[in-house]
Amino acid sequence: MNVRDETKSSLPEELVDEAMEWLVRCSIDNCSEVDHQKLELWLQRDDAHREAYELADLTWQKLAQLPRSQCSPEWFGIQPPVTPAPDPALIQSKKAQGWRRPWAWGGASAAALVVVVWLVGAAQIKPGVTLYNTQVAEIKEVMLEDGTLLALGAETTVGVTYTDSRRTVSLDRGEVFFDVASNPKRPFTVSSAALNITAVGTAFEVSRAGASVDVAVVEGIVDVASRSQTSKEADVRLTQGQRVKSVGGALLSVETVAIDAVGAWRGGELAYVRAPLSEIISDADRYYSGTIEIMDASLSDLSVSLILDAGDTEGLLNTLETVVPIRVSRLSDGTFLITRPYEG
Amino acid sequence: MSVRERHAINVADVFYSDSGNGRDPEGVLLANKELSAVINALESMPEKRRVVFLMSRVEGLSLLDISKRLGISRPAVSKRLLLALKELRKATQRM
Repeated sequence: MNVRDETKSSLPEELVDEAMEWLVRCSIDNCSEVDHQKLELWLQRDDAHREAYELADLTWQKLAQLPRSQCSPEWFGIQPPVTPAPDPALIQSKKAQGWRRPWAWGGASAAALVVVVWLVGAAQIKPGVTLYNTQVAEIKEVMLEDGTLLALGAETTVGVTYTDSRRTVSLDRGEVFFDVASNPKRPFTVSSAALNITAVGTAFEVSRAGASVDVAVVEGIVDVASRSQTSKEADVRLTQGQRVKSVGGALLSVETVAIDAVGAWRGGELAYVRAPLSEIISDADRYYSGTIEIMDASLSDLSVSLILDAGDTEGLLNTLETVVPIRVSRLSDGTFLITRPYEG
Repeated sequence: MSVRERHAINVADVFYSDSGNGRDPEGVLLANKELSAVINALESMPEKRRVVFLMSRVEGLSLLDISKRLGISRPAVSKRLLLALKELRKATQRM
């Protein structure tokens, strides 16, 4: 596709730099009335100034389309991601294994299966780390050797490391619902982006998109600690019905959450309470083989509360179309584009 | 409006949204090559700068919120964001 490149220009670099300073000061940030007037004067002084400002603004608009899913965890310099398992043998889909509720198998067989995976996994990836993956639209339950249950949402990668003294799960992408078997002598910790999440005999959910991590607690107590050097926020303790979001290691305020909504995706449902549209689309995208794109950055922050069927992408977008002011278009290759509705 | 109606959409209109009644900058797509350039630039960017950029543009936080969350001054946030923005533009320009 031939996309015209509007960020290339013959404008002097210094002028574009100056325009960017104005953009950050007066458009991205809220500047004073005086600064606003100064900007107006600067824009009126020369057509090239206006052109440079438009160029700066265009760059900013384009960068809004950087998807969260493309934001590598390494960008925060904190935790190298576990390499996704290339071997399909490691990917135990429910269907392939005839897998029902894993705990129905009894502890011994569940443990045996884990050992097999561990041996295969250890040879190829990292000693001691067992990887579990899910594909687009796949939901999988995994019972670990200690009876802890992990429910993996779509496009999720976790690495499990169990030693005699501790149990560690790293969440590289996606969402996991944890039902942890209590054992105070072997603390259970989830690491995701810049967070360490520690639980003792509890049920909670962790979801991750790029550097953004969400923790919600259904039962018991969970400690959430930031490993980021850039954050000066205090760590938090969550109890039943609480959630906290973290961006790049900085913890945002603790909110209450409906327990029923946490992990609702395990039943193929996606539940949202005042969530930004961008988050819903990012989730829906993981359950869809094609692409869903928000074309207008200003729509990303639309607040939405509803429960959706994860597997039915078209129905899901249909529902969204009726509750928020968006228009959904489908291209012939299956891509969905979300734009503003027609005027009038 | 139903998705199943499969709106006839002109892809060119999405990419070149300045046809007709003035340009709509929000409709301009980040081309794949540019996206790769941005990702490469972010990978090599100093962490402090990158974190501010991601919080602002990807997470949509205000500069005031970012300064509170990182415990740094607002001018420091502006400065880091500006540096990130300049770097990212130069990266896409080299394409």
